[in-house]
Formats: sequence, structure tokens, C-alpha cells
Amino acid sequence: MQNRPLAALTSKSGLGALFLFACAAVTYLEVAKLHLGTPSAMGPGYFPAILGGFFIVFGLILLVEGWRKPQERVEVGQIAPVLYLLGAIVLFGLLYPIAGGVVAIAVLIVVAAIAEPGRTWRELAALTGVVLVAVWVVFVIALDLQLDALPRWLR
Amino acid sequence: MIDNLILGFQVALSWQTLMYCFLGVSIGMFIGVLPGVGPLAAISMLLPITYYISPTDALIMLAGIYYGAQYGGSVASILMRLPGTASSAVVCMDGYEMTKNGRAGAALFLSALSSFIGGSIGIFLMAGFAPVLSDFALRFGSQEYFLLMALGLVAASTLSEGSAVRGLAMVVFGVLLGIVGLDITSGSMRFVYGQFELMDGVSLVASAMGLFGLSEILSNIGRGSRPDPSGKVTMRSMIPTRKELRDSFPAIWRGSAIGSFFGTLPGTGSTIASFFSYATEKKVARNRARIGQGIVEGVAGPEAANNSAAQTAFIPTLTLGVPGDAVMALLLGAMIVHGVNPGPQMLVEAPEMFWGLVASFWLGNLILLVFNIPMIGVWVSMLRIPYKLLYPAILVLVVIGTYSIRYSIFDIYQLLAFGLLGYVLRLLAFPAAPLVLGLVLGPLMEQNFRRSLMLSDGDFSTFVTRPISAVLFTCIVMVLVAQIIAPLLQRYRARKERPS
Repeated sequence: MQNRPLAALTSKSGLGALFLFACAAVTYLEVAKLHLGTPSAMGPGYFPAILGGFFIVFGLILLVEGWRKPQERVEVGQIAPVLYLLGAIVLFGLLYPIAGGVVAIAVLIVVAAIAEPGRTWRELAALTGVVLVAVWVVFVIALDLQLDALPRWLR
Repeated sequence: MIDNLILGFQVALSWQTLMYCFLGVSIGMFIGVLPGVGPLAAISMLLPITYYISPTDALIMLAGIYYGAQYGGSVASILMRLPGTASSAVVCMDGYEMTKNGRAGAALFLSALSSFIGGSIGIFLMAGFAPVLSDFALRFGSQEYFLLMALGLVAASTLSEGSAVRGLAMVVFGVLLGIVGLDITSGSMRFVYGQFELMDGVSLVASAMGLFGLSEILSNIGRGSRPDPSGKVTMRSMIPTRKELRDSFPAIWRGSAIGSFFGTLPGTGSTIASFFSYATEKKVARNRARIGQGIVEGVAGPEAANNSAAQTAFIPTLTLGVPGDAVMALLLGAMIVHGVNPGPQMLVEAPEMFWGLVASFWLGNLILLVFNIPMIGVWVSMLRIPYKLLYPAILVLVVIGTYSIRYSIFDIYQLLAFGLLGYVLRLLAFPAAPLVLGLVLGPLMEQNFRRSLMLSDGDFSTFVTRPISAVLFTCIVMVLVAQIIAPLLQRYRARKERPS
């Protein structure tokens, strides 16, 4: 490979090392705001400061690993299904307070189901219906949870 | 011990508790059969539901899912060559061969029988050893607890699969996540960033569901459909021949011994136990020449091993408060949420809970043995549910479950963040299980670390000068050194072989 340092840094281990360094940075930014104290009277920052050190040590080890095996790359695979699923959860979080449980759950199911191609609208409608009924039977009737079917402004 | 067991059965045989036990093992069996949903995901999904029932019933149900899954995992392995759980992967080899030889029924029966015997031996050891161990542990101080947890974390993250450095890094990450929120000693906020909801710390349920429930869906999606289970299993075909039975028993004893041993060690749960048992059968079984072609020892040994390991894994968790793997960490977290302090005091303070659990484990195993066999037809038909219909339903369960703990939309975003984190970790080949282990033990570790050094007036040698802590410290160093030496040795061997 032409540029070995870059290859090492973007290899699986190299990116792992960068991830750990980022964790260390977040840790020490927080520790800077906290009182450290002494070993016999530890402040809130003492223990996290030690943990941050571990991140750096492990990160350095992974960096060496990346230098040795720069050919091991991260295989990202299909991004779309992941985005659909995570998007479905975001939509649920946004919709539940304004549109109520029925709409939010239906949207959650439909958006999540699109992640896997090759299904008909009829299948989707049936799935949504069955899951909605099951959710109400299990969570609301059997377990007595407070799930709002309709939004507050409609009741 | 007899008195204690009577007490235990009194608890476990109450109508309601028995129902939760039955529910737990049935769910466990079901998710064990289904490839793609493991006990870890199922327990995290059901964790919020248990907040509404008594702690003993909750634990009995959650534990039932765990050992029930060990029974169920072998069904798909034997019938379809698809391991339902990681620990039943080895059963695929001889189990599926037995199916091809037309002995599927006998394989299923022997696997249930071996599981029952292995599980019973594990429970027996638990009842015998737990009180001894907890008596011993009552003498532990903060130093010993800190080191014991450190040993558990180091062993669990390095002995399991994958790179040791990555496992350890995730333990550190988990411990750090564990201390998010209000620091009780000083009253200051840590890593809260103005989010009021984070004051109580990171939600165990949201993190476990995100890291396991959600990321299992993410990794299973788009894999296409599963093959159809082949062959019909009749009751008649389940009766093993006399020779099959005779050949199975030595393997069951060996498997149980191996499983009981590996179950108690941190980091080496039922998966390693079943692989080790299979390796042993390869060397010593009467029919070893035909291993891999469908011999009963290849099914009976590993099945006994993974079930006895699933039971003995509870010994360190319940008596020391130190979980050996992520499932045990979740159960420990559930106990803490329910206000039960796991550890040596538990046997003294809540004997009915401990012995109730022991008794319910055995009842659960009995239920699994008795109901498993007539239910096999049902499990097989469940395998026909396509995953594309299953995963949206699982997603709804995950989301509603997380929301219902404290009716907080913020927790849904925590779930989302952990799902995303789980995805990134998988891309970078970081294991997620040590993270949850660290998350549960993080606050306890910091507390004991602080207390130890406060008592020793800031002197770090307190971790090596006390006799028990010296032993524990040596163990930690040995595990770490072994992790450094093993790869070096491998490279040395590889280099030696190359020139010749």
C-alpha cells in the first residue's frame, strides 16, 4: 500500500484505536471539570481519570495492531436497513407524544418492515394489526401499563 | 441443607411462582429454538416487565429464560443444523447427522435427558457449594471485592472469544458508563451534560436492549429466509435403543463434570463448556471413530455440559455478586433494581429467595424435560415463522419495553444511542458483552476502590498485602500474562514451522 500510516489508521484496528482515543478525550474533558482529590479521599474525578488512562493504553496497542495488519478493513455492509430501523425508532419517539400510541407503533412497524425488501402492503397491514392487538393485550390489559392509544389533545 | 431445600421448595411450589417459572422456561425454550434471538436479547426485553412482579418471581422467570434457552437451542441444531444459541452449535455436528440417519427423535430425547441430568448436577453443586463459598466471602473486605470484580471482568473479557485488548477496552467503557450520573459520595454530576434523565445513571434496560436486542435485529436483517425443518418427529421415534442409552451415560457424566467446572469460572460459560465436552468425546467416547457421523455421545456430552454450566454460572453471581458473563450481569442488574443485594449476605438476609431460586431451577429443569418432548412439534412449527414478520414485532417489544420502565421518551433515545453504539462496535470488532458486565459492576467497583484506599489511608499496597487479595491480585496478573504470552507463543511456533 502507498501510504502506510494512513492505511494503518483506517484499518479495523486503527479505527478502533481512534474510537478509544475519542473515548479518552471525552473522559478527560469531563474529568477536567471534576475535583480529583487524593487516594485517601478521592474526588469524583479520580476513578474516571484512571479509566481514561486505560483507553489510551488500549488505543495504543490497537494502533500497533493496525500498523501490523493494515489490510484488515472495516466491512460496512448494508447501511439502508440500519437507517430504516434506527429511523423507525426516532419516528416513534417524535410521534408518540403528538400522535398517540396507535399511530406511533404503526409507523414504527411499517418503517422497520420496509428495511427488508419484498413484501406486500397487505402483508404489512396484517402485521401491523396483529402486533397492535398483541401489544394492547400484553402491555395494557395483562401488565396494566399506561400506554396512550390517542394523543392527549384528542381526548 | 435439607431444611433450606424444604424452604426453597415451599417458595418455588407456590402457585404463582411456579407459573412464572413455567413462563420463563417456556419463553426460554421458544427463543432458544429460534435462531437469531438469544437469551441475552430475550432477558433484556423482558427485564422491564419484571419490574411489576416480586423480586423472587422476577429472578425465577429471567433465570428460566436462560437455562430454558439451553434446552431449546439444541432443537434447531438437531433438526435444521442451525444453532438456536451459541452453546448448542457443536450439537449440530452429530445431532444433524442423527437426523439424516433417521434418528432425529432419539437425538431430541437424549438431548433433553442429558440436559436434565447435566442441569440437575449443576443445581446440586450449587446447593452444596454456594453456602460454603458465601461463608468464605463474608470475610471479604472492600479490597477483596474490588479485586474479585476486577478478576471477573478481566477473565470474562479476555477468556471469551475475540481479542483480549478489545474485550478489556469494552470493560473500561462499560465501567465508565456505569458511573454516569450523580456521584453519591461527593454529590457532583458526572457525564450528565445537562440531561436531567441521566442523573440516575445510564439505563440498564435501554443499554442491554440497544446493544443486544436491537443489534441482533440489525445483524440478522437481510440474511434471507431459513430452510424448512426437515422430517416429522413422532413420539415413537423418540425412544432410544438400549445401546444408544448405554453409550450416552458416560458422555453425560463427563459433560456434566466439564460443564460444572467451566460454568463457575468467569468468562467461560456454557459455550466453551459444550465445545470442550465435544473435544473430550472426540478422544474418549466409545464410538469416537465415528464422531461427526451421528453418534449419541456427540449430542449427550455437550448438552449435559452446557446445561450444567448454565446452572453453576449462578454460583459466583449469587454468592459473590460477581457475574461471569453478560447474562449473569443482567440478572445481577435486575436484582439490584429490585433492591436485592447480591453477595454473601444474600444467603443470610434473603434465604427464601436463594433457596427458592435453587428449588425453582430444578423444577424448571423438570418442566423442560417433561413438556419439552410433547411440545417438539409446536417448536418445529414455530421455526416456520419467517424472520421478516418476526423482527418488526421484536422491535415493537424492545421499544415499548424500554419506554414503559419510567414512561420516558428520553429512554427511547438512549435505546437508539445504544443500538447505534452496538452497530459501530460490531463494525470495529469490539465485543458488546463485556461492556454490560462493566456497566453493572462499575459503580460497585468504584465504591470498593474508594473505600479500600480510604481505609488504607491512600496506600495502594493494601491490594497485595492482605492474604486473600494477594491471591486474587496474582490471579489477575496471571490471566493478563497468559493473554500476552499466548499470542507470542503462537507467533514463535509459526516462525519455527515456516523455515522447515
